[in-house]
This record gives sequence, C-alpha cells and structure tokens, in this order.
Amino acid sequence: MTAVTSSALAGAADGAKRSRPRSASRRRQTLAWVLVAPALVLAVVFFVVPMVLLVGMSFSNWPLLGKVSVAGVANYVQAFQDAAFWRSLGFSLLFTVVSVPLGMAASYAAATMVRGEGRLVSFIRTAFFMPVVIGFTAAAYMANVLLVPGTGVINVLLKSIGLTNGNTAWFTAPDTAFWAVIVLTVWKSMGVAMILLMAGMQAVPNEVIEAAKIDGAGWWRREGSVIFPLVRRQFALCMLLAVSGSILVFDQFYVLTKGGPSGSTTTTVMYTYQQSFVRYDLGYGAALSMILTVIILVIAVVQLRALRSTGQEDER
Amino acid sequence: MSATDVTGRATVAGGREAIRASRPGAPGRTDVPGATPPRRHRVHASGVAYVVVGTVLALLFIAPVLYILFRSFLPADADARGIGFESLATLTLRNYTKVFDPSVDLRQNIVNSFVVAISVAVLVAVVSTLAAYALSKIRFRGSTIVFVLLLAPLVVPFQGLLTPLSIVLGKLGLLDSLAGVVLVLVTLQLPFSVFVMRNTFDGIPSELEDAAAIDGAGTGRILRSVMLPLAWPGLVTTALFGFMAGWNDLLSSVTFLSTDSKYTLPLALSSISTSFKIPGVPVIDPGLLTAVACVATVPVVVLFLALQRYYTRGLIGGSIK
Repeated sequence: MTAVTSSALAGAADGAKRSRPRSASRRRQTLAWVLVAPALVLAVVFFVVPMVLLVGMSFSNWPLLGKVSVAGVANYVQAFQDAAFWRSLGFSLLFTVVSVPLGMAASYAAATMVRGEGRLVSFIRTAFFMPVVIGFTAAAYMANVLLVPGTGVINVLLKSIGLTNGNTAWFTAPDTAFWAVIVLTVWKSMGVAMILLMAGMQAVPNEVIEAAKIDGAGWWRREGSVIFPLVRRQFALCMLLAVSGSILVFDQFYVLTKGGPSGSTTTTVMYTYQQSFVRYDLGYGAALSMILTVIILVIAVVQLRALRSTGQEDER
Repeated sequence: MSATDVTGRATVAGGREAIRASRPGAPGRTDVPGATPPRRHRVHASGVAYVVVGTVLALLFIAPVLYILFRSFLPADADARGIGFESLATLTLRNYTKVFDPSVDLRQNIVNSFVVAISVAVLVAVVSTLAAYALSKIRFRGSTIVFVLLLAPLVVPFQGLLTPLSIVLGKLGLLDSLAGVVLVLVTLQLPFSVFVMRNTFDGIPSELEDAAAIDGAGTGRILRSVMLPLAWPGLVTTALFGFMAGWNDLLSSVTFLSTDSKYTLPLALSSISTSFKIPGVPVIDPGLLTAVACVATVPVVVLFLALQRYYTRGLIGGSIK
C-alpha cells in the first residue's frame, strides 16, 4: 500500500514535470498527493482491496474452513436459479418502491416547513432532524417497547381510538411488520434529505419568487412551477441516495424482524449476509453481493440519465 | 421571530421575505410583501395553521423519544398499571442503577463506544479535511479519479464487503480490535465527509488564500489561519457524523469483534435483550430496556443539539449563496 502511494506520487510529479516545468507548480502537485494520501490509503486498503477480493471470491468455492477452489461461474449460475434470492430482491425493491416516495414526499414537505427563519421554525427543524442521529439499535429498542402487544403505548392509543383491539403483535405478521418498519425508516431518515432540499429552496433567488407573485401565481403554483424546478438537482441527489440506501436496507429488518416471520421480510442484503455468515458459503455470498452491486449501479445510471434528459427538455 | 411566526405564510413561502419585511423602515412590517389588504386575513389564517400543524408534527416526531425517556424512570410493571400523570409518583432511578449493575454491566461497553466514536470523529475530520482541501483548491492530475475513488463506497453494499474486509483486517492483525472497527468506519464515512468538506472549501473564495499567500503565508499557515476558521461548520459536521457513525454502528462491531470486553454499546444491547432473539415476543423488562435505549441515545442527541448551529451550515456547505 505504501508502494501504491509512492508510485502515485512519482507519477504525479512526472506529470507535472511534463506539463509545467515550474518547480512551484510541481511542489503544489506533490502537496496535493501528500494531502490526499491518508484518505487514499484508507480507500485502497479498506475498499479497493476488499472489492478485488470480493470479485475473486465470487468465482471461487470459499468455505469458512477447508480448501478454496476455483468455481468459475457456478456461484452466479446458482444465484440465478435461487428462488429465495430473487424473493429477497423482490422484497427489497418493494420496500424501495414504498419507502422512497413516502420518504421523499415527507422530506420535501418538511423542507418547505423549515426553510424559513425564527425560533419556532428552528424548533420544528430540530425535531424533524433529531431521529437521524439515533442509532437503529436504539430506535429498534424504542419501537419494541412502544409496540408491545397489550401494553405498548401505540397499541394502547390505537385501542383507545377504536382502530385495533390493542393486541397487535406488529412483528409477527408480514404486513404489520412491513409497515412498522416503513414508518420507523421514514421517521428516522427523513431529516437528511430535508436539510439538503431546504438548502436548495433557500438558494432560490427572492426576485424569482417575487416575479411569480407579481404574475399572479398562487402558493401552489409558485411551489410547483417555480421552486420545484429550481431544486431539481438537490431532489435528484436525495432520490439517488434514498434509492440505493433502500435497496441496501438491512439494519431495521435485522434488528426488528430478523427477516421473519418465515423469511417474508428477508431483504437482499440480509439474505447475502446469511449466506456468508450463517451458512458460511463465502463464495456464494460474494457472488450475490456482486449481483446486487451491479443492480444498484445500473439503477443509479438510469436515474442520472433520466435526470439529465428532463433537464435538457426544460432548457429547450 | 414574531414576524415569521405570525405570518406563517411568509415562512412557508420563503422566510427571508418575512425577515426583510420586518426590518425597520420596510413598509407594512408584519405584511407579506405583495399581500394586498383584503388577503391579509387569509395570510393570517394560514400563519396560524402553520404554527399549529408544525408544532403538532414536531411534537409527534419527538414524542416517542420523550416517552421512552419518561418510561426509563418508571418501574418494570408501569405498563400494567397504566402510564399517566399518576406515574409521576413512582419515578425511580432503579433502571439506571440496573444498567450499571454487575449482572448487566455496560460500563466497559460505554467506554468502548466512546473510544470508537471519538476516534472515528477525529480521524475522519482530519483525513477528509486534508483530502478535500487538495481536491478543492489544488488542480492536480488525477484529482477526478481520486474523488471518484473516495466516493465509490457509496454505491457498493458495505454488507457485501464484510467477508473480504475481515480477511484484510486479519492480515493486518486488526481483527477483534477496536482499531480495526475504527478504520473501517472511517473509510465508510469518507464519501460523505469528503463531499461535505469539498463543498465547504469550494464555498471559500480563492482570493482569500491568494491574499494570504502574497502576505507570505505557507500552505500550513493558510490551512490553519485562513481556511480552518471558515471551514469550521464543515469540520464540525464531518466530526459529528463520524461520531454518530461510530456510536451507532452495529454491523462492523458484530462482524469484527468477538471478545466480550471489546463489545461496543449497540452490540452489547443486542446481546442482553432476549426479546430480539425471538422476534415479536414481548419485551421482558421495559424499564431496563428503555433505560438502555436512553443511555445509547442521550450522548448523540446532546452532541447534536449542542452543535446544531454548525451542522446545518456544514451540510449545506458551498451550495448556499
């Protein structure tokens, strides 16, 4: 790893020499590489090397104990025939399709509420953002206490308004478990997108909004036709992060449902984790991770393309 | 504050207008600009609606946490007796003494969590500040590749890398050590931190740096005396989120730590609660569980409240005008 850095340094210095012979510029180049070196070393050791290992493992028979052997594409063939894997992928996609629109709508609505100034606004902003800082383990603990059948406060409240009999065991039925986790997820992760969207909205020039008002645009019209198009970039970034984050959903389900009841809430990442760390089929787990990575990259590229093309239409 | 609160419509449609309107000398102090007198009544109504809806929603968001905090000071059988104002008479510290009781002693785990969280915070702040400064202020060959490489972990499922990562950590002799967990978490935080810090530096005009350079300041001096004071919000943001990542991490600790005495708090939590082993089975001692949840929550929430002046600006970074 030091070799990587020093050769990179040498490469940079060479490059600088060829393009600009002045020594000040070369010193600047060297300085840049020295400054990025710690981050680069970490990224290489704890990301690039594991990534390369992962690719290698996905083409191998890699039991926890015993001999490693070349498997060719056997792991991938097995993955494409593995109904449980596809079911878990379907579940992760379903979770994404439900949670991302809900989360984005919540973040956007919240952003319009907290983009102003003042003490009340800042209190609301703080309240909306607070769940972000709480860990999923602690949040799951809380959810467990709030949702105890019979005595948990949420069940008590639902019973008192006559919606349920108060004995719902939320995490034993697939539907209720799914919705409980969706609510928990939106509650816990809405705040980051809210802040980014808020920043975008605050950057919309006042003159533009004033002009729209003079033209007689009402509140909804201003929001939809003036402000939204101007925060589209932030919206797209949040969407991109939300989609890849949701497809990779793990913590919430791991802590709250452990994938049950009877595998109905097993997400793709959890299934992959099980193959690697419960069944100790590391090669197969690696192949599943590779497939998932490719799927996420494809979705990200499609999203970026879609975004770019709508951007061009608007400019025309 | 009064201007924004009373004319909530203005708050909703861009608070700065309201602030501007409320400036002394501005016509119609509490009016929304452009709102003609006949519409004033409606504006006022929506202002009230904003205050009511906003407050209710905000309280709804923090209610679960407040409830858990309250519950953690009540005895184990509080649920059966019903929780209400009369519960105030039964307030007790029993749950917290139990958390520190030798049978569920979490002291070592709390210390471990602080060690991990603080190390991640400091390391990620330093490493990402250095890298982001270079990426933002120095034009060098390969900078795009470096940036992409540092952001790449964002799109790869980290959980999928756990096995190769434990092989790498094993080779480095860092398996089952807090240092290993810290280094992995720092790497995972790099995309976010480098992004935030680069935005921050992008927002600082190069002219300031040039002026300092003309005055004879070296790069180290420029970083310390010119950049750092201005990059403070970004720096605090990366450190705060690093702390959060370290404090809240479950997956890396689960995978890389195997000795009880090295367990971090979330890991200890998931092992003391039998309720998580059988999903859906009622919690055994809600008093103890809520106290534990509060111990795991309070440090990050306090930090975040104390530093919120910085993190909002830090997250927004260079994008604000």
